[in-house]
Amino acid sequence: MNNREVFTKEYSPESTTEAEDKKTELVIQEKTLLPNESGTRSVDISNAEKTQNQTGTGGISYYDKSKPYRIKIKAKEIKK
Amino acid sequence: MNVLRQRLGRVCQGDIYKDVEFIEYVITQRGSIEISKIMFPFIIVLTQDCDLEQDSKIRFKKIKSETADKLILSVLVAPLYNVEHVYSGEHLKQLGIQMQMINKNKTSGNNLRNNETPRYHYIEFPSSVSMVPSVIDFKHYFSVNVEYLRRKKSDFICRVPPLFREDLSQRFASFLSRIGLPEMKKETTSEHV
Repeated sequence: MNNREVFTKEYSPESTTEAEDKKTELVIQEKTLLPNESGTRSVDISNAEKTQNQTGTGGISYYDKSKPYRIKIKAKEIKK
Repeated sequence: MNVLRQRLGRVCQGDIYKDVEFIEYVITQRGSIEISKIMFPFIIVLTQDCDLEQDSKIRFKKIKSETADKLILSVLVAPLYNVEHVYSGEHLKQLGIQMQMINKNKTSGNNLRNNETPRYHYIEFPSSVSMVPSVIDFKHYFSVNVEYLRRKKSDFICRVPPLFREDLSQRFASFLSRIGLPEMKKETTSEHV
């Protein structure tokens, strides 16, 4: 079994063979955008997008979409 | 350089797409998953067009074949950066990477724009395309899934036309196949005894 098949089996509710009461779902715990700074930055506002840090720590970050940027997503499997 | 605005029904060499993901890593542990990905504003397809055409024919069963040895697993692409950002060395600033500055008014800047710097390929677009003069960094090439790129029809910008795309392809191949020679020590008299 290659890595791709393992990922699909473990994290895709449609492909699970477990009983209904044991079904799991993926819940996004954290989605951060870097750089993660509070306050405004001196960027060209026409290319910037306002986004809120979804980890719950608050603050508004701006990033310049004309340059590469990084996204990190953390998710945890929970039982329904 | 004139560009082609109409997208063909398949991914082609020289295609430029916007907002393409590069997966840095995926970590799975005890029911948790962490994904880190980089969003590139613009990329250009570098894979040879004959390979892309053959893959498309097999993938969409346009030709019958008992084997699928023409299928490709991924497409080689490279990012395009705003040339002004490249001059200031800040095109990867949001990734925490400071790049070398290039003085646009001196030899290094002229070499860049004349495509005499092996690592970079400079492109200017016609006014009909909303793209600033850009630089392709061959060192930052990466691969994306064929199906992923094919589905990004709405993110297609334009395509570099034939001859110009062959020039790009040839320069990329030359960059990849460059050989770094070691520095030779100066011979001394004692070494010949």
